[in-house]
Amino acid sequence: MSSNDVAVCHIYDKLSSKTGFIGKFVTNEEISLHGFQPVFYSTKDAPTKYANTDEINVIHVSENFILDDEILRSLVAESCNIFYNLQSIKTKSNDVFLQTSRVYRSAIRATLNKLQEAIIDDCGENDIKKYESFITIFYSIECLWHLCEFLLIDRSTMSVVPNLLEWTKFHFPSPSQSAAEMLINKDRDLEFRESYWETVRGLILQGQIDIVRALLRFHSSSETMTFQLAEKELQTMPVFNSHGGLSIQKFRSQWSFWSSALETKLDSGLFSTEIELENIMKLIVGDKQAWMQVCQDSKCWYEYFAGFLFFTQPAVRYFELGTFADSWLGRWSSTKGMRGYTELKSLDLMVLATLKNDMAELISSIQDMGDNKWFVVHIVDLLVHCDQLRISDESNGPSVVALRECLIFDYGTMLMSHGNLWEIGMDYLKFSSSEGLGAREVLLQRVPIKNDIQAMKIIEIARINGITSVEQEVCRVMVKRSLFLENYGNALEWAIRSRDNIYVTKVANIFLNHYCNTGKMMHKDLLSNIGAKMFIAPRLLFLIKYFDFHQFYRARAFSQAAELLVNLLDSKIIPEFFWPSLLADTIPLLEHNEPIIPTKETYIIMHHLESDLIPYLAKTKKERENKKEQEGELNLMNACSDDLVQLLRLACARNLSRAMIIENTLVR
Amino acid sequence: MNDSLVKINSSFVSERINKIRFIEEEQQQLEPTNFLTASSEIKNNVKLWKLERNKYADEFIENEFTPKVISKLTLDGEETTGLEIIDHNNFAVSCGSSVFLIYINRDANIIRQNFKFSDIHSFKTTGSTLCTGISVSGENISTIGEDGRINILSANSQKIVTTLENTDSVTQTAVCFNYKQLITGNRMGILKTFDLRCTKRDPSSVFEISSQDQKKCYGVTSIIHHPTQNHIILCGSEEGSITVYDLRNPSFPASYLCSHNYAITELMFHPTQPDKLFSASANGELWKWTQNMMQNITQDYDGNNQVDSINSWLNGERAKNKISITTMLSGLRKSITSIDCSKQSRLICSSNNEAVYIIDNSF
Repeated sequence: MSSNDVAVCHIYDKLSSKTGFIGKFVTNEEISLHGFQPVFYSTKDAPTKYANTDEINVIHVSENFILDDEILRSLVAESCNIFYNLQSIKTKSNDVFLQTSRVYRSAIRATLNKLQEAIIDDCGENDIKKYESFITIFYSIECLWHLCEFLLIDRSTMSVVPNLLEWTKFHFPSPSQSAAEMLINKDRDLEFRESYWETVRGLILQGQIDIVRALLRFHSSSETMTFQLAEKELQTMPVFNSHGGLSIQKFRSQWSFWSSALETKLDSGLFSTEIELENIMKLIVGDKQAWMQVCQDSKCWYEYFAGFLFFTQPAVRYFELGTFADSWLGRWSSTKGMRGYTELKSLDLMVLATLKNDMAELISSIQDMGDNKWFVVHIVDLLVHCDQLRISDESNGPSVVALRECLIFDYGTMLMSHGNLWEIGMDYLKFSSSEGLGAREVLLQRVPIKNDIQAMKIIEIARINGITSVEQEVCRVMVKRSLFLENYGNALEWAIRSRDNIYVTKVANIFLNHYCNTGKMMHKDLLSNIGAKMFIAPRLLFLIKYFDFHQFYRARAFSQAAELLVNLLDSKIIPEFFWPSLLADTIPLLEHNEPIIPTKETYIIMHHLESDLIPYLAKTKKERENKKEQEGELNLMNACSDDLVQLLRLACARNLSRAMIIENTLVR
Repeated sequence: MNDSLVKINSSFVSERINKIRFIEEEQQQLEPTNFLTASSEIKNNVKLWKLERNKYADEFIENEFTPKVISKLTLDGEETTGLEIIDHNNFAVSCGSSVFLIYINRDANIIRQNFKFSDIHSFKTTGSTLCTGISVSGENISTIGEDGRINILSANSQKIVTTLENTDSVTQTAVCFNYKQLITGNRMGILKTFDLRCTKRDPSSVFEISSQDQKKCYGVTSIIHHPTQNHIILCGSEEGSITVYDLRNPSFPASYLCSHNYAITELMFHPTQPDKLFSASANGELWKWTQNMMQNITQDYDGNNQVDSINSWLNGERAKNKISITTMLSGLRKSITSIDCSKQSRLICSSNNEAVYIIDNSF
């Protein structure tokens, strides 16, 4: 993770190796590359010599997506929960923000733990490598977050040094660990261990004076004058406490008095019998030589920075930190023999930026951490919430609110476009901007649907989030899928759900056509249970009513059947192609032994016969003649059109005569 | 464990779980510590989990347990849709168009595939299709699918006992199997009962669930029967309501209870205390419904005590006074996908926010 690390991606493309290539950003994470010959003003407007020689490849390059890893997913899910809760809090108090920050950090630490466990359990080499790189990334995130937490988010403490010491202690835990181990074992011969003085010095540099005293008491010569004196000095050392009631000026004079006294003792050689002890005392009074020595051994620049402040500037404020950090860094790098900041690692630079409150620098560098912007999104959001994000050049650049929205938008769309995390992405987009809400709607429609269950799930989520248009869109997709599967029952149900007249009509037509061609109704169980939903579209209404007619007819309730049929004929919702079939259905009723249809109704049938069926038959006849060659499937009823008309006329005439006689006969 | 505090443990499990079920301990009085989950992310995973005591938590705060995977099985297929326990050592998982019988070795804590009923749901045109749900009665498993076929499988003989073709034109979404009676519900809200003793393959009755808006489709999402009175059927719907039927008279619903605002995902009676019902919804609510036993004794005009013999679920309008509702979980925002309840008082539920919640002393 050093800043000099450049991600390299090798692309092998025959054409591009000759011509060179050009790239464009497709999305924020994706670059599209293809072979391209540079064009200048002097280039002739003609095909290049490579035209049609090689195949052209378009290559998409994107950053690795790591968040769908099995371990990191739980962090993504948990942080989404925390994020959501933060957006919906009502009381904006310092405590809430601090609490939120801690919950975030605990989630990161839990993830780090899980990664460690996975490395121990797992034996796959690739996985170990992958997890190790995750640990590096998330360790840096935790380190920076911790720093931001007490410097920016927690506004209750004025003095930063105790927190800085705490932070250092956490990230360089070896002195505390070995001290704890020594104190538990309580050996008398502690100083014979190699690490004894190293531990004591480490503790001093982290400001853990009490533990140092405890360790010194275990030294075999702790009864000697020198040790007793050291003990006394350490005991009386003044410690700055912002809540202690002591003003900074008073504390400073107290400190200078105490340290000059100690210095005098050092100069007079009181500690010279114990060199190690003398060194430690020198560190406490800020002896330049001693500190330089320490710097030589340090692993990174901020390892002893907090300790240095503790002994030299214990009451430093956050706004002063930058200056001290710079001067300390200058001293540190000169002892290390470094020139400038170039050899610092990116984490070192980010820590420096945080200490200097250089937010623009910090945010720009944490975007490149390889965590798919997880960190930058959450920390910026939190900092904006507690109003602690100040980018120095506010007037020129975008405002922090816009920055936050933009980051959340990118993160949300990225999650939504990566398979299984779309539901989490939805939550982020909800809080980005109006653009985010639009994107949410568009992206939700594009979530792949493989089966009914997934479709229902998306509909449910759309309902909960109040995006009604998605429901209709999903239903339409499902209608098409069902039609493709020739599953017409499901198709009709989805069409009804979509409440889209066109789709319902289309599916209902399939049912009616099937009946015309085979004389059989499909999916009777479905049709008999549509109920009030039939009013969604006229064609569906017709289908159901016609189905009802069938049911009456089969149940031999002829008079009801006839009434319904005549009503249907007059209803003006009949699809044109269904006229032959519908009128053919009247024949058995007209010809029934008992007269069922009275004169008036017979006239209606005759009217439709002449004004609807005959023009339709003429039209289809013409069409058929036009394309005689390509005769496909014929409508069963259309095939015998002339006979049908003859039969109908005859049946009507016969029924009319019967009905007239009956109706005009006076019954006494 | 003896205090009456309701304890909620939550932990993130890195996957969205479709079904979750406890494995009861062999000693009945102990709370179960093992449970099974079926999920479908990139792979279809069936996992056996063990609740481990959290060494960092102290006695009185939340998160006393952390679940840990002790055995894992990957199944091929489109999506896991159902997981039901058959007996102490066996359970069934429906995944894609197949149903898997899986064996748990309780000593070694390993799960392994025992048998696979391949492609038992299919369309004529495109072949295999999704099995949308399973229900278990004794050793028999009933399956439903997008193709409207019902299969009855036998776990012991590992054979398909019966197949009912074309029972529904619309995808069946819920099934309840009880001895020889089978009830299915479809996406349009139509319930059908089948009597397997009958040689006739048509449904013995067909009825529709109730909803506020008759012009909309509301699918049946869950069907369960009362643990002691088998003729009482409760159906959860996509609308969020519960419709109760008395199968002795199924032509009209006995009660209609508007409850959740969004789809009910699963209903579950407490296995040993039939007066308690749990319902989970798609917007992340988990409710407990309790029958008020005390009110069943009413006084008539003569001052005689009369025991109300009708189960309060069947009481129609009056049911509302006799059943009280407690919220167990709310505000998860994402769907609770599945719940299960132990024989004592432990509840477990999985949510689409990729977390599992374990609730102790819930009643």
